[in-house]
Amino acid sequence: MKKNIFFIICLCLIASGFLSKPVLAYVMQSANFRLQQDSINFGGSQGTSTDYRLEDTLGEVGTGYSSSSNFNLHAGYQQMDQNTYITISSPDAVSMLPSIRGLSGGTATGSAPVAVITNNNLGYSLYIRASTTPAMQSSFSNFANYTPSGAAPDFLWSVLATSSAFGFSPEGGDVVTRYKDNGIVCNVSGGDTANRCWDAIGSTNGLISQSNIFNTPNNTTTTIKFQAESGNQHVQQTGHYAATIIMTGVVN
Amino acid sequence: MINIIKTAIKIFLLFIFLFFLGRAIFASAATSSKDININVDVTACNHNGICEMWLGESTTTCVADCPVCNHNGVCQPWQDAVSCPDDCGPHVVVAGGGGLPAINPVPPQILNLHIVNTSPNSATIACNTDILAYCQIFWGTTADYLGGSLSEISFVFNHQMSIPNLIPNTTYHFKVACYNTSRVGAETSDVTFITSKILPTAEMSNVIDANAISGNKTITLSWLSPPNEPDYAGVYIVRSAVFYPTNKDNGILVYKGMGTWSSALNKFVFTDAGLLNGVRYYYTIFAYDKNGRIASGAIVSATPQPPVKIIPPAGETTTVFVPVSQEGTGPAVPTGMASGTLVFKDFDFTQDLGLLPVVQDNVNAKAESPISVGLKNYKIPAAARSAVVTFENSVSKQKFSYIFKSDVKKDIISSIFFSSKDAGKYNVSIVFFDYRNKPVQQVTGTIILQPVAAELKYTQTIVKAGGCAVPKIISKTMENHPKLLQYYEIVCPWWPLVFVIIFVGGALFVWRVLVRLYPW
Repeated sequence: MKKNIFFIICLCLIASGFLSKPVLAYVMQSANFRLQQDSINFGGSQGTSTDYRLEDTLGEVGTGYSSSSNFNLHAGYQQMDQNTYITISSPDAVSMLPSIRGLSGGTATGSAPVAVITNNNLGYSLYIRASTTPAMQSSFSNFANYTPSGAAPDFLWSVLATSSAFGFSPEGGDVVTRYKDNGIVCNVSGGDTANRCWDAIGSTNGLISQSNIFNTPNNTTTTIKFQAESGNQHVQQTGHYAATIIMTGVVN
Repeated sequence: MINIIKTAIKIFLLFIFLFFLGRAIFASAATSSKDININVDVTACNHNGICEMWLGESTTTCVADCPVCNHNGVCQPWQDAVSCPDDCGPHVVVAGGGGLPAINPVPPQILNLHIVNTSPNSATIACNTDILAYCQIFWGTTADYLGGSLSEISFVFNHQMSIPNLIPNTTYHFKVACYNTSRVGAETSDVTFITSKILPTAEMSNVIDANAISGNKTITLSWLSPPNEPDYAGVYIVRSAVFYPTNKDNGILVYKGMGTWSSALNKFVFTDAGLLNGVRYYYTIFAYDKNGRIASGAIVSATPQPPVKIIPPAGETTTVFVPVSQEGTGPAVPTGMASGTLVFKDFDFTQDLGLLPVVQDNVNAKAESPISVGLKNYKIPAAARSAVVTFENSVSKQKFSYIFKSDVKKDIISSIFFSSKDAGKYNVSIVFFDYRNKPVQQVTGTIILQPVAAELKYTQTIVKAGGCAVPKIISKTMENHPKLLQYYEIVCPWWPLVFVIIFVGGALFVWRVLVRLYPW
């Protein structure tokens, strides 16, 4: 029996070795410095092996938490080694205006600022998806999801006179290349012209903004422009149309 | 042996446990999610003054077009006696009037019923009435008129209603009913029309009515979609300061899309801003469809102008700035330019998939239908590098220009444009340009557009009569209105009343005679 227990413990240790990932973190990195952790002390040292690094300290001074309106200071040995978090804030609802005329057509627009704040040193990714397909529906009818003319989003919003569509365009400092433009086409490095680069909101997560650095204590806002149009030769059934858009932020 | 098996099972289970534990620990990541509800309302109201109940317009959804009550004594289909007793309540009975309702028994005469125009997806019907009336139109693919109906809401003499959402190249039946203020009405017999065909042209048709208006550092382009292109998806607008771009890559792409609808111009518009005043800009508007076809291009040009400063008269302090507006539609060509060996009949004019004969530099064609102008490649002048066709109304002098485009096989150059809805004579000028964009050769001719409005024959019958105890319908030929074959008129004859008086009087006389003869 003792033999079996010993055998099982050995196997557990081996398994842990296989299944556990190496835990490595950087102290300082990059040309512009990202001072993540450091210590002012009179004792302690760093010990490393192939898979592990041991950091200890002794007699540290000037420790504790303090804050101002713009900054939070976590002074002390590895005080910043806290749990990462990400928070998204946005309006609960957006009413697109004006109302669209069912017979003669029209365009309604709306926007929602989505603020992301994260302390994750590697930043965040912001995704968008709709709860239904197509996204914008009423009890009896729907707006088709916007269809770009090619693989990239359309630089200019364009809907056939004989159809209707609902789409979006993200704007902000962290929007990914897909939604950037050079003044003519999208999906190129360059600017972020307002009300350009229109895309469909699918039922699976689509990446719209990304950053590789934390943004605390401030946040980063991505403004989602929504647009729905019914062409002037299209009859859109009257009613109240709604779409539930799900914004998901994930730390990198 | 059994112990070994038991141990192996335990180890296996432990592995599984550790595997999921490991994943739970190391694969976890912080996420945050937020739902946003996006809302938009689609209203039925199109504010055209016509209550289109079949589109969902009602007193609730579109009171602008469907007033709850307009107090005109006429009960409209969307009104009811509860909310509109003035119009839909019982008619007032005139005291001493023998119980006859106080209504006008004379229905309106429906005159000059005609089809203003048809397109692949719509038709506009018009008529007149001899008295103030409101009219309804009922249509469908059969004489049951199940397609829909439209109703006017005001009393007028001239009536015009457009039927939307029709199927191309389809025969439709319709009838018009018009009512006087007492809801006494008349309706036409069944009339038919055929919607226009959508031509399956290999080449894309150009936009129509393209124009350019210059402003201060701006040029506003306007156009209408090609009516015969069901897959039309928008336009590319390409600009050049040298000459009209001959293809999408031959200049600066300044716009792609459907344009913005201008209610003032009744056209789609795009304003190109940030231009230099005094510089002439050349634009080609390329229509494209969702299948990737691109039209040869409609061309316009204009020169932005600075505002003109008007010096006020002495003593006045106000200075007025008047913006300069200038329109341009096509290339300037020197008069009297030689046509060389090329003549008008060298060009192929086609419409409805048929070749139009050229007789003495004249071509007869239908209005409101695409016309293709083509020239075989071997006939193109040697020095020519581009060509433009200009279509000018001989009366109004309004003109539109289109650039030629070579087909894929490079056998022919052609340009397709939708002919004007206005019948009449149009001057056609085809100009070839050399590599320096200088005009080198010009060929001229005439296209005469024939009207497409159908001659209608119809009769009018009374559909609702009131005010007569025993109404009589009489037939009457309308000599002054040849399109109206026959008109039926309601009259209130006097003889029934005379008959009643004679009968009652006779009965009383006989009774009195009998009483005198037999006093018992």
